Amino acid sequence: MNKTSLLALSLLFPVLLSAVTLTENAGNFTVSNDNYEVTCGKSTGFAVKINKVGKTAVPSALAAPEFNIDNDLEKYDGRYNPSPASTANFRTKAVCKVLKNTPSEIQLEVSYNFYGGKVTEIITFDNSCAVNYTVKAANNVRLFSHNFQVGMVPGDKKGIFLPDMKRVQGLWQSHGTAMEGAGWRAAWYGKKKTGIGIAVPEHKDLRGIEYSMQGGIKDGWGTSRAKLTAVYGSLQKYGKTGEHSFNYTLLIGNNAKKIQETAEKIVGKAPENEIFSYTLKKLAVRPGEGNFIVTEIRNNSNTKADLTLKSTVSYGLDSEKSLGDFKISLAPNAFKTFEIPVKFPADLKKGAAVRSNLVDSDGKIIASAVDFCTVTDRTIRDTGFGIVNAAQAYQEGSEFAWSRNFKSKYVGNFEYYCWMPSTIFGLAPEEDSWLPHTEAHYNTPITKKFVKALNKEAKAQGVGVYSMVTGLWNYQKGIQHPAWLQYAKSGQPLVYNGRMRPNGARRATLKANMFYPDRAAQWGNEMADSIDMFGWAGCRWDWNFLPNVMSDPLYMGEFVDDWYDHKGIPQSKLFPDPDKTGVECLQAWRAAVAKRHPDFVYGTNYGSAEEEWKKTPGYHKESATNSMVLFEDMLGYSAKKFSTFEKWGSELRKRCDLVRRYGASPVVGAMRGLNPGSISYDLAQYTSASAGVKWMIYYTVDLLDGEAERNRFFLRFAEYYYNPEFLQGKADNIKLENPAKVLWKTFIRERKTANGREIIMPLVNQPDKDDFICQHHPQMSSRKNLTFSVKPRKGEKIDSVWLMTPQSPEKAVKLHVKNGNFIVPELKNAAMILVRLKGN
Amino acid sequence: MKNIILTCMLFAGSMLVADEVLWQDNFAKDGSLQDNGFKIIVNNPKDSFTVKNKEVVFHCSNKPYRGLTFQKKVQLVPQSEFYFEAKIAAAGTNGFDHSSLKIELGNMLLTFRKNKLWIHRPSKNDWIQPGKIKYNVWQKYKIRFDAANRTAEYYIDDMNIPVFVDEKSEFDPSKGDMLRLGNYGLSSGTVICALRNLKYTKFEQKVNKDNILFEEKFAVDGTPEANGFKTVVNNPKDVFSVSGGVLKMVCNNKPYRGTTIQKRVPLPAQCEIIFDANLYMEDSSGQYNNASLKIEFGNFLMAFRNGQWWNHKPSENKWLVPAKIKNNTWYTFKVRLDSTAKRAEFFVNDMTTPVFIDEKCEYDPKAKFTLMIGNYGLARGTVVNAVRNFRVMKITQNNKAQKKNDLNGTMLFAGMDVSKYPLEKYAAKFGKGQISKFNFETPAVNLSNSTNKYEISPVPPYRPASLPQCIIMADIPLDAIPAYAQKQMLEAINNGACLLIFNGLFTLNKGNFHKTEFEKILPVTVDDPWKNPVAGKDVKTSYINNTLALAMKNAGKGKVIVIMTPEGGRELLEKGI
Repeated sequence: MNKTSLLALSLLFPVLLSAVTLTENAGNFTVSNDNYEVTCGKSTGFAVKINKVGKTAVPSALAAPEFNIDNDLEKYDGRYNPSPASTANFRTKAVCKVLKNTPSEIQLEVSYNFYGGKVTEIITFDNSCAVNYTVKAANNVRLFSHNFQVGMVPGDKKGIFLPDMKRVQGLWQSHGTAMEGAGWRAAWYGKKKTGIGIAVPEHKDLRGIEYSMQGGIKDGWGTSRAKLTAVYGSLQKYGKTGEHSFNYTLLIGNNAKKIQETAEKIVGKAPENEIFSYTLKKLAVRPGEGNFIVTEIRNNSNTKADLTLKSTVSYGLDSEKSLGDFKISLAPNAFKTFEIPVKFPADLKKGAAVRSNLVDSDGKIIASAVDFCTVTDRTIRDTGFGIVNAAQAYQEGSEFAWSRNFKSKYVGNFEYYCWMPSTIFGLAPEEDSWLPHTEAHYNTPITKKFVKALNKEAKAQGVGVYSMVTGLWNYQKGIQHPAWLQYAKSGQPLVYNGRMRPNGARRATLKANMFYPDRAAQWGNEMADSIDMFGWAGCRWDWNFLPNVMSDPLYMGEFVDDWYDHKGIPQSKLFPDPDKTGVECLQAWRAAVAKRHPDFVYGTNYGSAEEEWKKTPGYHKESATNSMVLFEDMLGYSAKKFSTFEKWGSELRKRCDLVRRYGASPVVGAMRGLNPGSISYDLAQYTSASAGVKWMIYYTVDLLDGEAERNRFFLRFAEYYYNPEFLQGKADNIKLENPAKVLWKTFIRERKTANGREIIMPLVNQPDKDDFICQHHPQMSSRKNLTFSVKPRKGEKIDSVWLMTPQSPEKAVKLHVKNGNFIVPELKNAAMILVRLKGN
Repeated sequence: MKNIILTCMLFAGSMLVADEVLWQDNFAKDGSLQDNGFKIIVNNPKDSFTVKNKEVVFHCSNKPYRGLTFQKKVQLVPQSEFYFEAKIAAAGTNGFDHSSLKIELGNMLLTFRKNKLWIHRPSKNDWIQPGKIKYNVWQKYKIRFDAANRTAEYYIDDMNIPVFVDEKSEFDPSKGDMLRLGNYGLSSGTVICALRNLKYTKFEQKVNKDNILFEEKFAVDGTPEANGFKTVVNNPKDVFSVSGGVLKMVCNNKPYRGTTIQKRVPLPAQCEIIFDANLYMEDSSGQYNNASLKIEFGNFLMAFRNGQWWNHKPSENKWLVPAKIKNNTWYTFKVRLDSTAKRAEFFVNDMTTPVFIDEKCEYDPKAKFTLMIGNYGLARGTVVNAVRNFRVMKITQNNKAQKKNDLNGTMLFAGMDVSKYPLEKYAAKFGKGQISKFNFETPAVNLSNSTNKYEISPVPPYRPASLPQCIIMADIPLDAIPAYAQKQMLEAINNGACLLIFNGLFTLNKGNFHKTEFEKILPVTVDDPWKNPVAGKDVKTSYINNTLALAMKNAGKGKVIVIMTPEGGRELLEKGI
């Protein structure tokens, strides 16, 4: 070990004891001061590893920049956009140089190459608790983030670092919660004596700080780990070239006050009084139910604060009403969370924005916050849809966090995929724990307690959980019911596709013969038992009752060869009218469930192309009636026929119109091909919503993407985006006078009103160059002053025209109309126009 | 557990045999371990060791995590065999729980407790338990290490059949050269263990040089050219180098047409290609995509890509995937090619049991005349692949099966849902020796086909060391078993083997036996998939509750037994039938 002379000097001169010191070891450098001791690798991968915070030894404490590389196609070539690649600096070879080594400052330069380009980090240590980073990265960076994580303190059962002093329920590989924009957050150990934190100043690309506890969902669950991540993105919107530069500070120390002071020097002081957090307790409430504002108010001053929280609700197009005032009195430096009941106006229907202003004793507004909810008797129609699967969602203690994350994205329904041991005779399991039915290899033990709590926690937040249902027997249960299986010509039970191994890696495998109304009713009863047991809001089928087509909905239009019943009779003889069989069985299944749970939502997944409707019109109609319909096959936007936003959007709109006639709420899957944070991902979602089809979100989408911004807009104006009353409509009498690269004709629809009709005209901006979905697009230009003209029909006149945009989601704006002309001043990504016509 | 026949690993003229004893310790001097050349490194006054009559006896007191320990320096090599005899808990077993004898061999730590042998895994700081042990009985132990392939085979008493094969062994001679003996663990009282006859043997690969048609040892450090290869540069970023007998290939991104090195080699119609390869021994790409190593032998193209060994089928322009492999791990690969029989057998590490057999192999020695080694595929960054010890061998008579009437062991074909069947008991009743297990698996199928697709894994050896004495087909369709193996089974039965067929949902009437050679020897009818099998004439039968439970028929010198009970014959065993 080769020590610098600094340590010796500091021993000789006590006045220098508080200096920062650098020790060079064989493979790394050790930097220490009064606040911390860290080591930095020299060449074989580089990251700052924290050995001690103050004098407390901490395990698994690592601070590492991470890059996410944009691999979107430069030019559409028929493929999906490849997934982004991620790389952390500790996985690569680096060169570390000492730039400066003085008692007051040590500076290291770390440089390395990775497949996104060259990176240089300048890390500056001084005697404070701050470790300053300046990171410069070359082109092609999609996302930059800096992870800072710390494990439990050994030998101390309560030695957990709590982000923001709270047990934040995080989810594996997903964030717990997040603050948007510049600021600082810390995770604290013990009585706020020891902390690690990150302070991030303003930056054009900064999204915010995610903070969570990984594996620390509850005491005793493996290694508890607090994680703070500064997130910058989505950088690819600005093109694939050019250097990106980031500057931020890690905070490590055992003096909470010093950490706070250091952070405030970087990001500014918190205001004297602030709304620290703000949310509505429920995303969806039933008419007349009311809601709660849950907010943490902080008094950061040394004087008592007497404050008032004045709240209003915006709904309809631009209606606004007061929700009353709430008096707050806070002692000096006190933080308090309030749960304030609110009663909504009787005429409030569907989307609403609740805004609260924090007002001081002089009547001055010192802070303001807003959240969104919906008042509905049909959540599936008026809010979004998401999905999680049993490979991720299984840890007891995490139940609350799943619905919290969906709620924070304004998604009111989510499917719990492949959770059950068997989808037939396994929906209401007798056992307390099981391995799930799976189309993949999920070896995650699911407990009854978890599934119950998942539903309960969701319901408490106004979110509904949907059970997946598919017609596959668990192998064990299937062979116990040989008469309910499908057979091959060889007499063997038919095994579903996918690799099945004897170790149980794949459990639900045998194809079911459920094409008899009595069997379907028995199955429906089992679903009702499952609802009694768990409290599902709905289900999403991944199977169908048509005996002659492929059971995988992706291929529902394709016929299957004859299969046989247990006596060897071919299905073509057993079920000569497959459409009739399908209708009877589905009706029997739905009736059995509805008899005991009338509000339960039947959801399904089928190919909804017109040609498929023609093959089995009865079954398609029955499936669409007041249901949720997933158009999984419409994910094929890499195919030439759906390759552009317009082609794909037109087809979605056509299919939506088909199912809307029967009250269905359609959804399109989100599992492949586009990368969160990209322009394509953003526009694809605006396109699908404009077509009236929800985008099924996957739980992992977080700060990087504008998921919340989009969904709160759709939630607020679901009356127009997702209302089945809006059906056919054409752009016959509407013109865009100054043509621009905008989709506007594609989604025009209308509905009759008491004194006329309403036309909706969703607008979606398009990339400046090309219009393929599966292709990299830089940020497109805003379209300014789009001038539309509307020629009313004979006997009609324009009553009013309204503009709704994601940038102003609380209220619609009434546009000035002159001679049938109106102007949309600016279109950034998407907007909704409502034209109200009187007469006729 | 992988079935490996260890005493005689034969392949094309080369042989792994234990041939050089590097060191042994018979504890020849009565007294202490110090008298036998050991040094004391941890003292515990409560513990004591004595050496007498060539045995060392350990008195292990309670709480001896840091119990009395001795060590001496020894030579350790990657391919080696460590043998010893031990008597655990010779006394003091009352209340014995965690106390143990420990043996440390370099970085390998062995302990004995709770009736089990325990092996420490340093990287994860956890333990594996290769096998059960007995208390107060002298038992023989052997561990066969192959550090290059990260395997360790554990033997207890039976020195021919391992009780466990650790395929993630961390034994590494470079990480220690000490033999340590001592006490370890925790006991509630004093226990006594004894040890004797330590022997450490080195293996070396002996090759019959007469059978070598071509050998490339990469003997000259420097470039491939220095070793007689011609380099065809298709990607100037690729750099190939040779050092210490290893060809290293730095493979840069987008090398679909990467650099290759080429050499003329003999291409016989029947031969074995054997080589060691290490895929992605270095990987700076962060996330690898499709980069690969290619080895082209004539028109026989192999690619090694992330976790898989691929073989190209030229006529279909498709790839077979004979095996899964790990990155950054040395493997020995062998392909046994027979262009006349249109067969290729693929072996990974275990040179006796193929991992895959292609019976429509398109290898044509006349198609091309060159060996090519190079880069192929696509990577996001730079990866380094390596090859060493490339040989082409003649196929010799050594590989042929032993005498047909030399029946030994059990072939157990286990269906999907037979875990509760007492198959091992039946195997013990009708077959002697090792059980080779083959599992029923279903790969993905076309959804529109109302047919099943299945296979067994692993595949039976094409040339087994002996024919089986007992064959068990537990709910297995006949057509899941390759034709060559069916032929072997019929031969075995004709020579005296017993075939046991357990009924289920995939066998007998539903198992595609109808109109096969097997139908002729079955004691039941199998002609109608929608009916239950019925006992034939002149067969022995047993009934339970008036339902056919067992039917038996002689076939050649052997016999065929069909068991029809729902619990796989458990009921029959209980009734003594």
